[in-house]
Amino acid sequence: MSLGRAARRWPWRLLLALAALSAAPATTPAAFAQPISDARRLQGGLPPRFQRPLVQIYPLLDQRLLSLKGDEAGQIQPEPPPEAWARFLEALPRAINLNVTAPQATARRLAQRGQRGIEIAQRTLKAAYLDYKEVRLEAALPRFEAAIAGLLAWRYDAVAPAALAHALLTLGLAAREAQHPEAARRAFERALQMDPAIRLRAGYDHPEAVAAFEDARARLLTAPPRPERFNLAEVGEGFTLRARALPDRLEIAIQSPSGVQLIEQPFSDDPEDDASRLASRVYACLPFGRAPKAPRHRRRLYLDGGFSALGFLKSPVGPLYSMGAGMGLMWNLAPNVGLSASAALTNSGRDEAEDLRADIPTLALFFGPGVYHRGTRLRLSGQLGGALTIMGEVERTTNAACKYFSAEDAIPKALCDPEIDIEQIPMGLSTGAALQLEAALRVVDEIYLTGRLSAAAFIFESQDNGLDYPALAYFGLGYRLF
Amino acid sequence: MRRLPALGLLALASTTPSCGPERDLSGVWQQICAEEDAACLAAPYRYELHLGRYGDDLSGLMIRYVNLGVGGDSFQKPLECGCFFLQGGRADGDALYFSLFQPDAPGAPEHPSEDCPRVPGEGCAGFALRGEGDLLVGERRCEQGQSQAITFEPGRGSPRTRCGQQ
Repeated sequence: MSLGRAARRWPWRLLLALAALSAAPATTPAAFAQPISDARRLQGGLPPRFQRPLVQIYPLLDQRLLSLKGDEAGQIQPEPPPEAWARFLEALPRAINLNVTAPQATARRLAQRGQRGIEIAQRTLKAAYLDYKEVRLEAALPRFEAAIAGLLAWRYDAVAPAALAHALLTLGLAAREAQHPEAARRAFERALQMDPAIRLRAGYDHPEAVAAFEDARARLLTAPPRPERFNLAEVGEGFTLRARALPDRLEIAIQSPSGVQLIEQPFSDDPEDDASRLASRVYACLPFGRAPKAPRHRRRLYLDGGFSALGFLKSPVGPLYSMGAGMGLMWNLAPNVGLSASAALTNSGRDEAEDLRADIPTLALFFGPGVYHRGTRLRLSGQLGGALTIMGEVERTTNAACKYFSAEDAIPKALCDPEIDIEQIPMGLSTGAALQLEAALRVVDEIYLTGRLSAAAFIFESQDNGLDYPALAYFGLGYRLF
Repeated sequence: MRRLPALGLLALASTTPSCGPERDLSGVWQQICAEEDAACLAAPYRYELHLGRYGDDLSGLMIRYVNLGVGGDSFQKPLECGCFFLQGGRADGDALYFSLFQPDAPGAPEHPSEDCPRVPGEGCAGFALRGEGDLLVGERRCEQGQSQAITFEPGRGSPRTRCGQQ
């Protein structure tokens, strides 16, 4: 089928095809790139300043301890954490693309960060303990609640879970003594969720309190609920791993600002395998990290104004300087590449022998691309471009009598004949190539002290007044417009 | 604040004109006579130089006045009795050399009088002077190789540029 026929039959398809063809070159090559596995990326090595995701592991909540009965002193026979957990703690940090913080380090970090808040809450807690000791139960209860809420706000459950559990336990005792059995039960359950190893002392605490506590432990023992804090999306940097150990499995909640993801790993006979599987699954839920972003170039425009001094290295009247005002613009278009323009309006003095009979006003313009380097305070740049110089009329003589006397002085022509002895060159325009060097020192905020040196060589001159190779020095104050 | 004086100084320096022209010894110079120089005191004229120096070049006027003698102020307009342009003026450090243009044709006054006849420039057209302290000291060279010592002191006013009426 010919193209024309196809166009008649399916005009919209042809349009789509043409649109696809025209869009193809604009599609980024990355869109066609093969996906690269994490393993390959790790083998290839990470680039410098790779941004590794922060993964903070909280201390393990070992709910297997709920089943252990306490002795007269309220102590249980401690059990080591599951071997799979210990192996997991070794396995996850092997992923070099992650910034993993071990439980102890996480606790230290949280303690440091919340030091001030924790101190305030601990003072309230101390007052609550005193109220309880002195049997001011109605005063003690709200103080305990406030102190515990304050400590939890600073993640004290990861810093010192036993201390927090003790506060909750005492809150339960106070509530029970204040005839608030339901509040006591909730407090006992929260204490056991905070520290599954905590117990009342059967030979010391009130038997009814011990019984209420043991009831709470029995309820939790049947189906230990997942602590509330496992279900919260963490608002903070990176990812948080909260783990609990149950008799048959490990549970890990991966918390991030975007939500919570729960991973369960049943215990098998091979703790190494359990840890490896758990680490792999956790790893799969975490981002790989990212290469550092290339610094984005911001185009900036600098404007300055100040004083200019212009001299001509080639001059028929010897050294000749002009002073005046100048200004400049510097636009850094791309990293280390910029455009520069400058202007100087000057007026000459006289040469030493006063061969020049009038000042020469000069407008010197420069425009050109160049390179620059921007440091913390100093910006250096160099440009190569074009120079355009407009010079006023040049009136010149080497005859001393013509310098001393004016035309109105009726001087004999033998001494000074203006038509012969005085040379008058009309206003002229000269263009050429120029090199400009610039340094700008940031004084304060966006205000700069700017210095410039430039030199040019004329290629074309509309009037040959003998002046060439202008060299310009400039000093002024600059400001970054945007 | 401590940077302000430095910035001000820099701004002032940048507005200061570049090196000025060489103008030493330019200005008005009036002839003086030493008390023991009887010839000078008795001379019929006194001279006033109006000099303009431009590097190594020199130009200007020489005005001739009737000499009123000791104690008299000769350098007055009514006593003017001749005006000569300088030509070939050269300057070399403190030394000045020039001659008078048409020394036999004094330019002013236009109407000679008894006090000031149209007398030519006494045949002494060449001058060689040297700055010594505040004075210009030297000689004027006359015809037949003769020379006369002559001394000038700084005068008042700005140099004249016209031989006729100002």
